[in-house]
Amino acid sequence: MRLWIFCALLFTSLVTSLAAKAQSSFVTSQKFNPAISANGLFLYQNGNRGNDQASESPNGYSLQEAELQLTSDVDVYARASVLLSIHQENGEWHLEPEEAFGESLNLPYVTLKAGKFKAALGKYNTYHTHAYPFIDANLINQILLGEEGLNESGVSIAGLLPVGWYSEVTLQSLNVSDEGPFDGPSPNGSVSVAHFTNLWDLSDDLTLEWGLSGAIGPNAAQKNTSIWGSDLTFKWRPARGGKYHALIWSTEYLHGDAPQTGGTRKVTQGASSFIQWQFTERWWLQARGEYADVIDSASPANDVRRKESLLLGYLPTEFSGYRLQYDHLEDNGAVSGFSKPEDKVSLQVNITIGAHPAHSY
Amino acid sequence: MRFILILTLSLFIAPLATAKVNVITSITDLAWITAQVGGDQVEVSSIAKGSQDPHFIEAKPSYMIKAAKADLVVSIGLGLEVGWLPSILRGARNPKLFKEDGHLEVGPLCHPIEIPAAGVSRAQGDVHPDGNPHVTLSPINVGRIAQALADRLSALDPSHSALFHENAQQLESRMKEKLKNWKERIQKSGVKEVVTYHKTLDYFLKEFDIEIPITLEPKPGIPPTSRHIIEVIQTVKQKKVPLILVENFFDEKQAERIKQDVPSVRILSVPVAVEGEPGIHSMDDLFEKLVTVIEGK
Repeated sequence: MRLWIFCALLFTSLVTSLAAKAQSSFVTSQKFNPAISANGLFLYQNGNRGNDQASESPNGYSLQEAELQLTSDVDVYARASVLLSIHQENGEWHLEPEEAFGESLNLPYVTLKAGKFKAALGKYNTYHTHAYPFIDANLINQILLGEEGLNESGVSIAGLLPVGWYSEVTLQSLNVSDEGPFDGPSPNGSVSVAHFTNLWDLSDDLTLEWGLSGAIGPNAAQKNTSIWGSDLTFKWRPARGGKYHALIWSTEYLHGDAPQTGGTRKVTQGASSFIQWQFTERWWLQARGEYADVIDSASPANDVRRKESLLLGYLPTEFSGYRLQYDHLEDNGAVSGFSKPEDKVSLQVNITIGAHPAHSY
Repeated sequence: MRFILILTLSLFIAPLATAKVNVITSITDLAWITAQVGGDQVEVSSIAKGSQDPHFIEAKPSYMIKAAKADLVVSIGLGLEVGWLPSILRGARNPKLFKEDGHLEVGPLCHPIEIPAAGVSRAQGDVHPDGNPHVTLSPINVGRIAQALADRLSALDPSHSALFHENAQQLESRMKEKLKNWKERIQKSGVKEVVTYHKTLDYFLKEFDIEIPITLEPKPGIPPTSRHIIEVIQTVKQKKVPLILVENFFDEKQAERIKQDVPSVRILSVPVAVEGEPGIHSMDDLFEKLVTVIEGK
């Protein structure tokens, strides 16, 4: 009898110990899980061109984009980030890796990156859709770099320069794309990107950021397309009272030159400039003016566009935002085929759940 | 020849002998405590200003430059800096800060209060699953943080370990001694309940057995609503709360609405960090200011 009791106690103790161990390893494994977040952009649009079949932005409700992001340290040397995008294209749903890359964690003054990522070409190409200052990307970015922006597989090195202010140089080598400005047919072709950015604290309240970038790579005509651009951003947020007031003024210019067969060339250039004014803790008012021209020496009609936008944003927390935007677009109809300007109103709901990493400054 | 050799050696040895530990802290309170413990053996600067809400600091690239040169980063942890400090540290590309000795989070060492008993959800507002992060606003915690800093600075600069520990001990003793006086004065004031805007002053008020029956924020991080202000007015009237303290990075307007209904209540905008307003250069100044405000002087 005593032996049975001893065996029963031993068994109970063993099971308890194993259960505790299993629970402990479960808790440990949970702590090593990546930070996971999801973002949804829900959009309602209504404009005078939206009911036409040729319109790129039809009237009505849509899921503009949904994103799933996973981020974690890989080990003591690297961290990784995967961002999957769910969006609709020509009536079909697509799930694709918007970004998936690993980057170095502990190299002094330098970050190495490899994978698929948004190229450091200009200031706003690296932004994800939910972080755009306005509901849509800047006009020149859409026309020159495409809807998705310049986003390809490749390698990157970014280093801080040893000067008294923030100064960073980024060099990248990327694959050519199926579409966009670098749609060269050569499987061995690559796109070279360089970005130089500087930020100065003019005071505790005011910063000035200036960037210069360039890219060169093959196009479908087997010639080299070159792009360069510059951006300038002032940010004012007072150290006292900064929860309630801020002002941002940002301007970006991009210029692309794509030589074509037969000695012709397609020159695309344009700029966007906007002001964001935070007038209370949760409300923003924004205005944007932009232009973009495409001059193709092989074509008699140039594509000329001018656009103005106004936006009222309500951001109750950093995890949700509601934005109402009005756009007025004037073009010469060379691409759109419309003879009248477009007037459009958009309402966007932007929600984020989970542990979303902070956006860059 | 010997002269050249000595000169050459001294050029290499001199910087090592005088090298100070370069420390960057998330908030000004930690910078001040670090300076007290490290004395002239540390160079220290804070990312956040004393007048800023430490939950919402923009990760300016210029902070990355500061962090790139640091030997140690000192932060609160407990989720206070989660929205900005990781970006700064990644952007700094400083391997020292990713080593075990390179980052000291002091919050978990300060016996955090208000740890949610059940699971947390963002429907509860800006909750901190590991407890209230405003740990520096307790004179006792200032001593605890000083001791932790002395240990960490000693690991980075063992030759000055005795100095760091002596400074920490002095600071801890001074805080304990002053606490007695502050407690006597607050007890004399008769203030037992205070309303605050956010849960910033909970550690401080807990030290003096002052209760916070309600905050102006309906939930952490959520600005006051009209309905909630009515609830605050009722609570202030029922409990005869004599004082509303508004942390000085928040707007006082909402509290002023309460004064219209309860004219007897005192409403004061107060600093809650070192350098939070002119004249507040130390934790001593900060605690003295808060005690004086509660006394009504």
